[in-house]
Amino acid sequence: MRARFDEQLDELHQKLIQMASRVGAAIDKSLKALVEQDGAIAEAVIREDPEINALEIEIEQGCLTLIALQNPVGADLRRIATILKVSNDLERIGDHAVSIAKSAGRILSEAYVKPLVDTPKMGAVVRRMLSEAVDAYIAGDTDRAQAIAQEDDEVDALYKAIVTDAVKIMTSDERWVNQGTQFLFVARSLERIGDYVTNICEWIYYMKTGEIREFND
Amino acid sequence: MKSLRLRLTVGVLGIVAVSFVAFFLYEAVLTARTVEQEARRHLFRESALIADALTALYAGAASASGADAVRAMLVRFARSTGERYVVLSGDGRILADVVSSADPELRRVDPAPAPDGVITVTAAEEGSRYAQVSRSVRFADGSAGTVVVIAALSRRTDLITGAWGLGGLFGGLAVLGLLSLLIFHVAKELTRPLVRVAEVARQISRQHYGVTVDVQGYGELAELTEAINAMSASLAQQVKRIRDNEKRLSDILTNMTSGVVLLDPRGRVLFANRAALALFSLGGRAITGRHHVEAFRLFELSQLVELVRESKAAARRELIVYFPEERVLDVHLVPLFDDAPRLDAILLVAHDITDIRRLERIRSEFVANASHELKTPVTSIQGFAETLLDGALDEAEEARRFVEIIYHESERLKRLIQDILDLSRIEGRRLPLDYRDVHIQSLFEDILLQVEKERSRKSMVLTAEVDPRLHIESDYDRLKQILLNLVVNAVQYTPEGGRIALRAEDEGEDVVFVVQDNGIGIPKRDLDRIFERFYRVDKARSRNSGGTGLGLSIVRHLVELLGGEIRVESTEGVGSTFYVRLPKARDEAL
Repeated sequence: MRARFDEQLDELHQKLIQMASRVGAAIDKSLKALVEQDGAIAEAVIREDPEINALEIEIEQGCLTLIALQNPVGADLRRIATILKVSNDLERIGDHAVSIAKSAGRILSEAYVKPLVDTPKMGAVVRRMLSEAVDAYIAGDTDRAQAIAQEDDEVDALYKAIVTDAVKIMTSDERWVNQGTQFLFVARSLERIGDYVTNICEWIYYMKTGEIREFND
Repeated sequence: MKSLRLRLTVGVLGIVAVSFVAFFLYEAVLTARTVEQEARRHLFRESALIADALTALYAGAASASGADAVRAMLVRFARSTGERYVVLSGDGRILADVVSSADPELRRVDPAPAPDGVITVTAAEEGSRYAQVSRSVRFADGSAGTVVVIAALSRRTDLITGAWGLGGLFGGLAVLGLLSLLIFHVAKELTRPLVRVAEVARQISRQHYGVTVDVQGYGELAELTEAINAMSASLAQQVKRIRDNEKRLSDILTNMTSGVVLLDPRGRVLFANRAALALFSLGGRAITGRHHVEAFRLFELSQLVELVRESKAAARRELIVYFPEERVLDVHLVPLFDDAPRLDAILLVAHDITDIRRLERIRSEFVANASHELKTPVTSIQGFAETLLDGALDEAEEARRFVEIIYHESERLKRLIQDILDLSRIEGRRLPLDYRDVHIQSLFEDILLQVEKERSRKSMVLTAEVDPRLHIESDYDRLKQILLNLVVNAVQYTPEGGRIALRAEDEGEDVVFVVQDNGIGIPKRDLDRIFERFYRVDKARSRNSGGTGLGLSIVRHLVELLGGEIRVESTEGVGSTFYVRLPKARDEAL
């Protein structure tokens, strides 16, 4: 009975990591599409998103079945709840990767007003945060989860810088309004991804301690 | 552990003790029987003697006093022999009964007359035994009587202990004790090689190979130790061979550039070599024992692994890894089977083909660019030739202008083709180099002369500055091609009245050539790419200037061919400076 439960829980755990890997790749690809103005990759991100969503539903159903049939309590229940919540956050992150890919698609043929610096930097920070959050989840490391949430400050700072820059460029010449808007969208998506990663870190903390705590204040 | 030695001792000792006791008993019984037979024979003879003496006494004496003489004699006899004498008349009356006082027990025995000379033995309580024998006696009156001689026989136990005595028993025990010591010692000597062999076998099983037993013992034992020694040596050799092989294999695995990962049938990582950790950027992660999903976190890779696990067939895929850096990996997965055959492991081999893919892209881009560049003058030539054919030939002035354009374009086409050929020759290292001593000041004068026409047209200041003693060993024509290319570029991208400086600086082993202008400069984002083929900072402008887009690319390749390096500093609107560092003397290794 117990062995079966552990097996099913482990399966959900692996699926969640698979989902995180896919979402991570989606962020990578959407950023690559944006930086290299590569329409094919942008389309791939949009095309693959339903598969990520399907994975989330699969995980969700698995979690609910497990709760219904096995009546887990304590640490087991918290684990399942965490998987449930994290898969939800990952799904949202996937949606934001799609938004970035769509923005990239809209300015594919335009020459960029200047080479992208802060956006790829922000993307790299967010991407690293996600990867580290998966590490922390696997290790069940609450200290690391808290440390990752701190990195969100860097994301917020870059977000502000990009917004200021984009507004300046758009007001200087209205030819750049379309491009500037897209970069604002992208920055907004990246900022939201940072928030979702912070959420994931909070769930890791909950999984280990049973305490719900806000990391981003 | 010492069971064999103990058993051997106890066993041999047991056998010895049993035979010892058996011998003891046999001896005792034999002795007892001899003693008894001797006693019977003695009784037989003695009784005959006594009967004769009694007959003689009765015959020679009166009947009253005769009886006293007989009694006296019998008492004397009894005293010395310890026997009992009973004289019976013919009708069974007891005439005399004499017993030695030393053995009153004899009186308890019933004298039972028997035929003459027959010895009967009666046993009494407490193991005592008596023998009696009857002999006929003749009295003075001529009537017949009987004398019964009763004698005590030794007890059997007395006989047995008598045969050996307590001393014999203790002596026997002492001998047995000594024997046991001896046997124990011999057993120990016999089993010593066995103990040593066992110890060696134990050491071998604890992976201490190459230990040997000193050859001890004889015959089979010596054979055994020799066999064990041979086995130990052969094992040591085999294990060494296996270890050497193992080390060689692990060295190969560790140092090969292909990433190698071994997964167990459940998809957990058993082993990953160094290259694999680098290729998949797994440096900080402990992945051994982890499921591939957790270890690699690459969806497509995990999907492929699951595919191979299910299909049990090899698979190959090109994967693009984006995080933490972009890589193109060629991944092969091979299922490995045990004898069953059941899936035993999955072997993953990965190659980094990032550079190959990039080179392929550059090459195909080059072909596309070259075709495009070649097409432009050809289109132009074709267009003007068509116009001429359509009637422009008749108008001399127009025709001349068109032909001039055609000539100009064909010149450009020729330059372009020449550049492409040059570039491919340089890249293929098929360009023979003619090293000789170059006087740099003369080289500079040569270059200034070549651009003089263009310089004066744009009224620029072109200075050459070099120590007249400075020489370099290089290919004159190639070096001139490099510097001329840079100077011509400088002239082209510097507005009228600008200033260009050509310098050579002595830096010990190297000479650094500097071409500096105060022209339009190069935008920062383009700086990294200006040495690429067909790369143009401002596409429209440079094509109009008649450049092929290959100049700087050729320069960079030539500099590398001459064993040097090139670098550029530039600020938009301020000017550019190119530095070419070349070794003063030819590197023999090149």
